[in-house]
Amino acid sequence: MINRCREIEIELAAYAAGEIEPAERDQVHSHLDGCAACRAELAREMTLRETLGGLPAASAPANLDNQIRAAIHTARTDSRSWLSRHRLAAAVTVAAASLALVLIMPNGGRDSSVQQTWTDMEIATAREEVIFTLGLTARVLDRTQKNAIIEVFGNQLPNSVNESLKLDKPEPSGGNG
Amino acid sequence: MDHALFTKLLEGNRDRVYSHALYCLRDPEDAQDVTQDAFVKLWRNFEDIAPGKEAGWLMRVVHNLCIDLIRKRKAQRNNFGFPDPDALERLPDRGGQPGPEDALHLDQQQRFLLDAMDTLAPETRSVMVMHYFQEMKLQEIAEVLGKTVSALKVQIHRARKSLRLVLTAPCEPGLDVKRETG
Repeated sequence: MINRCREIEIELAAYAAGEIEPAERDQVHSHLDGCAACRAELAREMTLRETLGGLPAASAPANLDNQIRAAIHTARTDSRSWLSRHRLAAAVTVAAASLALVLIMPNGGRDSSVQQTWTDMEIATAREEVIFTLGLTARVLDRTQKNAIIEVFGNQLPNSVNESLKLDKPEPSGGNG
Repeated sequence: MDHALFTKLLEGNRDRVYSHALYCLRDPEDAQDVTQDAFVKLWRNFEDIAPGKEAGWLMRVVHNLCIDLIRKRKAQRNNFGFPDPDALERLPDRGGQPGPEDALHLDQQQRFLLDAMDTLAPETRSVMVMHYFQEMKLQEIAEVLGKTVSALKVQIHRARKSLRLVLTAPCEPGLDVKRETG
């Protein structure tokens, strides 16, 4: 009986709120008919419901809207300031990588009629330098937060890069949301 | 960012969020700060929230913010966050006098109950405010907080047991009342 009482007591909040299936409700009814302890518990549930349900809704202070808008404005300004710093770093790195590509590429990416003067060793070295430079670029991009990357590059990044950034949906939370 | 929609959400949920924070935190200034933080978070994450889910998202954020703040207060008091089994017997004796929600003109029973709820775990207190004050259905709370309805029922049951000393019913409701709720 004690276990049954505990089961019924657990259901009382849903029961009093009308959030219970008809079959379960009938079971609670019949138990309450014969159990004074559970009726007392239901009385406490009703008191809780009436007391907290009767609390007046509080109106937010009149200046709160302005404070919220000011806080958003500040957050936006901070975000832009941060973005401008990282945009410069990202732009410099990308420019350096592009320059390296142009300088290191066989023929300098220009006139193909000019006679090829690169040795196999030079080409191999150039390839390694390109890979190293692109690696540096990737590290800078990796350290740049996702929002900045999106604002700097929009949707122009290749899919493979976008996927590697793993842009998760934000989890609403108190501390980190 | 749809500024018109954000303004609509702000105006439509501001008092609800503030009230929830006020009854959880019992400090108007803290409630104001939490409300502000919640809406800044909404603005920051606006593009990633499914349309129509903003109000629930806000409730989850304000729930988490209140819990964080209560825990910080406890840590500052060097309480180490351990539950105190005798806390209810040692409540600050306001004698039903006005508390932090003075401007709301609460009655004595409401003040006693809110005082007693200070002894509950912060998450439980917030759930109680959602269910009984905000009149959110258990299913709705479960979706917002990512919990099961069964877990919420147990949580509320335990809270009611903890609060039994201040839940002296003025009269037994009787079966007629119960049947009306079905």
